[in-house]
Amino acid sequence: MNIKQNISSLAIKFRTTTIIFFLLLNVFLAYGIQYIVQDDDITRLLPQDLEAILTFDDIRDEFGNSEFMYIAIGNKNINSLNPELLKIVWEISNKLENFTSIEEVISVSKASKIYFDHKDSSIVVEDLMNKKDVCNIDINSINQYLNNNPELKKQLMSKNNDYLNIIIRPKNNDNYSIITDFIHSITDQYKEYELNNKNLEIEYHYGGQAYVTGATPGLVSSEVKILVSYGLILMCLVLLINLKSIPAVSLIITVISLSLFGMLGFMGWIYKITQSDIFYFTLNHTSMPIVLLTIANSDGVHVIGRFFKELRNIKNTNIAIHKTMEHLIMPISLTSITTALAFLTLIFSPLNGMNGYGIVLAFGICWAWILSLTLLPALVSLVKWDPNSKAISKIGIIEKLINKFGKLVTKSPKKIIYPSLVFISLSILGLTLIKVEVNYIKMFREGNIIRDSAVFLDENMTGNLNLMINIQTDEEGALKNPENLKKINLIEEFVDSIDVTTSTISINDIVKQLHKTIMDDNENFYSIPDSRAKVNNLFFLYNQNDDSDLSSIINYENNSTILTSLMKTFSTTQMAEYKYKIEKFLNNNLKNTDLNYRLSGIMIILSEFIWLVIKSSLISIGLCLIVIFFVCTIFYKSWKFGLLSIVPLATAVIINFGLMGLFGIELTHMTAILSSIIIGVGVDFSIHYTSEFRYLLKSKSKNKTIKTINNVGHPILLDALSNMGFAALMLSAIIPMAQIGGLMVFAMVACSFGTLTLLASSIEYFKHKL
Amino acid sequence: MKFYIIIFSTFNFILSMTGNELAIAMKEIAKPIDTQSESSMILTNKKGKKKTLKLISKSKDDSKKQMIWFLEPKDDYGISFLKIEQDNGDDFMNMWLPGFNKFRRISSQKKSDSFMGSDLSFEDMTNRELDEYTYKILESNIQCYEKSDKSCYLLESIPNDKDSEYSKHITWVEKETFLSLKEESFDKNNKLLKNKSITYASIENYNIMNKLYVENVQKNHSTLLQINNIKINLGFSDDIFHTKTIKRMPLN
Repeated sequence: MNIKQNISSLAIKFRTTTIIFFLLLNVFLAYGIQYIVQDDDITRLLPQDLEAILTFDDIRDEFGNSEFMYIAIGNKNINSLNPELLKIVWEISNKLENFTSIEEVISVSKASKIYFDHKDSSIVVEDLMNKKDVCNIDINSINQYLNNNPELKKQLMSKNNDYLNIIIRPKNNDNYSIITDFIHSITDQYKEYELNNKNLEIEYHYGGQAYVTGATPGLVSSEVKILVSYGLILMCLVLLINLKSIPAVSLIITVISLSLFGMLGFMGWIYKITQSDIFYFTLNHTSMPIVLLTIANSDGVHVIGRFFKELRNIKNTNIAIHKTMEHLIMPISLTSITTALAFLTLIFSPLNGMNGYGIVLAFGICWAWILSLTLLPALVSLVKWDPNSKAISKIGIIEKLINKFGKLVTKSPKKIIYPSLVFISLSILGLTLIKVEVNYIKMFREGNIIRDSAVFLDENMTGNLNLMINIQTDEEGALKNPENLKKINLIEEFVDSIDVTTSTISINDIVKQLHKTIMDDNENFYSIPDSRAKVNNLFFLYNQNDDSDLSSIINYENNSTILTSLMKTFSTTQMAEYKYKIEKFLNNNLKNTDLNYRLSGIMIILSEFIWLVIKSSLISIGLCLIVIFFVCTIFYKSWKFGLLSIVPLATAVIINFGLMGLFGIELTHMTAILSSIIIGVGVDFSIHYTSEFRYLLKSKSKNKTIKTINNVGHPILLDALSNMGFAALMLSAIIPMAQIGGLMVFAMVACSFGTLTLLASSIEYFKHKL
Repeated sequence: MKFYIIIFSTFNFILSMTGNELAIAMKEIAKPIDTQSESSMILTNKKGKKKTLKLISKSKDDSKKQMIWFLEPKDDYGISFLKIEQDNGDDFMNMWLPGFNKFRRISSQKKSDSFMGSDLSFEDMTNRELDEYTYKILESNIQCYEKSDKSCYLLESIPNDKDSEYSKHITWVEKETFLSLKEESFDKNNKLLKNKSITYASIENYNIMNKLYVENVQKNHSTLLQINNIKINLGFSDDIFHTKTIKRMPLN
């Protein structure tokens, strides 16, 4: 037999060298895993020139970090203002405050009180709780002050007075996971306390966007590790049942595992070299191993499936593997190039995190491609295969079914095309019903600690979200003008009236409190003073106190301030609606003033995130289809085959997202990744099919469709079935991850049947025009 | 040889100064009866942003009686301050708030409060009485500044008052003049809180402070007080140091 010289034949010829070389190269690549940096700062996923991000960064520079962590501490229905619990809060607050990554701790032991001292007629700003061991008189004083200052009370205590809140402001946003670990190490030291001769086990509830960001990576990575392992085991089982050969399955798993380690190592190396934050490992990247495993699996399954078929006929391992590679080198190369290019289109995604995701996955796919063309055939040639073994000599159930199926397609292609078109139309209808959700908290199942704590904080404390309105003007000191303060007051009242708002914080709270205090604690003066001179004097007075610090509310020049609204968790789809209402109110009320406003905070960032997820999905899907069409057109030198190559994946994408809409599965930045899986796997299936069909076209053989389905149908179905192992992800506590697991099954069905029915029947229907 | 060493050590011990003696010597530096000056106070926050305050000050009896009026920024124009230190430590400190037409008494207990938003606390503004501190000389011959040929004592002053915001001060006192040139002040946890450095102008044979730089290292905030137009011995009577005086801006 004349063996064509290609990369695979060389790899087989020098198999030992090839194996050693690629194993060493893989070890080198995998060494880079240690350089992977995990990060889940949601703001880093977004384009840094986005208005909300610029404002968010400006606010952070001017007023400090605006993302908080919360710890609620206490026991249900037991008054939290008791000496023992206050002592614990004092100690925890002090320990947290001394941690270098924490900027500020706000708690009952760290809060200040402003009051008028009748003894010497002075205004005093001092600690609300001035010592660790407090007696009942001290507690009564704290209680009385909090009752007189309900906004402060809302921030420091639960509605039923049974939990105390510790609010933590991290210094910056790249140490959240370190801070969450530190918080747990501190709270673990205080498990119980004694009250009225009874031992009480302390309940802790943790929350806040910063906390979720810090706690999520650990939770997700441990879940993903377990579930991906389950997925791999299931994948092995499916392959083993079908291939009935342990060496064959081992070879496939070896190659896909090596490509996974190679890809992850590359991610570490490229971050080490570029230091670019697009290469951070974020929550989104948890799906990356699954995407690569499914795509890499396809190459392996096609090589082994074809090899078994050739060996069954030729009975010679060396010739069979050469023939297999000679036949598959083009489709495998084409599928790898198109899929890699498809993922590379993610560099055009408006979501920063997706840019790195695309580049790393494109590398992973190329690495799997190289290994499939070199290492895999070298390994296959090394194994002693028995052509008479059951696995090779006997046709499996899937192959038998596929042969029958081929006949059905050729017999009546219309019977397949028309119902498919109806199904696609229904799915298009579903596309209009799709909902987007990007709120991290809503991504956890009930019973999960993050979700439950968030619910607790929403119901009992000030919630988990925030909105920040930055009000500013050019003139220095302009925010001491009572007219401007009254405008801010109006805005504060409006924001307060929104149902999800639990509390608001602004400069006015302090101005009003000082005004009341200087006017001999007369409640009637809890208002904005009527002259600038008075406001000036109040600021002057406040600045003198050792405990005073307005830097997180108003800038040094007194022309920029922050109004913070603390909010309960709510759907991100509602966020755009609230944002619109607030903007409308601000535009109407500030139009004839010198005041400008900018919106930021988690609420605004999430509402921007929604549109970016949609935009990112549409851009990546659209660009992928265009790239695949052009690459296939160039390779096949036929636009018709180029078009046919994208038919199954386009329909699979429509059906997938349509069904998500019809079944109420929300589109998140995680489930959006499913389109990549569909395209990645779908393009493999369709290219293998079209490539085989074109090969048969040249041979002028009869019943090309039946033969094509017979030749590639088995590996396609086997690939799809084995990928369904990732249905194990359905067990995940992270809802989108579980949805990916469920949708993965569907995506595999859609892609494989899309290829073997819609593509096959379309080719059969239009075969005379091709 | 041993004999000479003993003699030299004994002689040195007899001649060397104790901390208390150094404090007395510092206290006894000749000072004018009263002073009047115009000052600017430049506050710099941790982001490097600056705020300048301008003020007029009149004082008497080593600043035990002092009045300060704010001229700038214009938002603070007219705010004024009166301090009369009492021997029993219960100092009288009052502030005039023109916007409210009210006086505000400043509690003498809140010594750590900032003086007019600067890095100087009311405690920093108060004279150090000999019996309120425990003094100790840490070094008898130390360079006052780097690359300076001036010699200094290194004096440790530990406040006896448990309400003090400080645990101790370490002061570089020039040996020749007994003027304090720089100082480090430590908080209650014995962590460095403030760095101060002082320069003096010689006016009619008196060494009078004309520049004070204070840096709060924990807050990363600093204050530079520059004192200009210093006039001395103007013959202020005790009566002018009164609340009714600070309600009006001084004419000169």
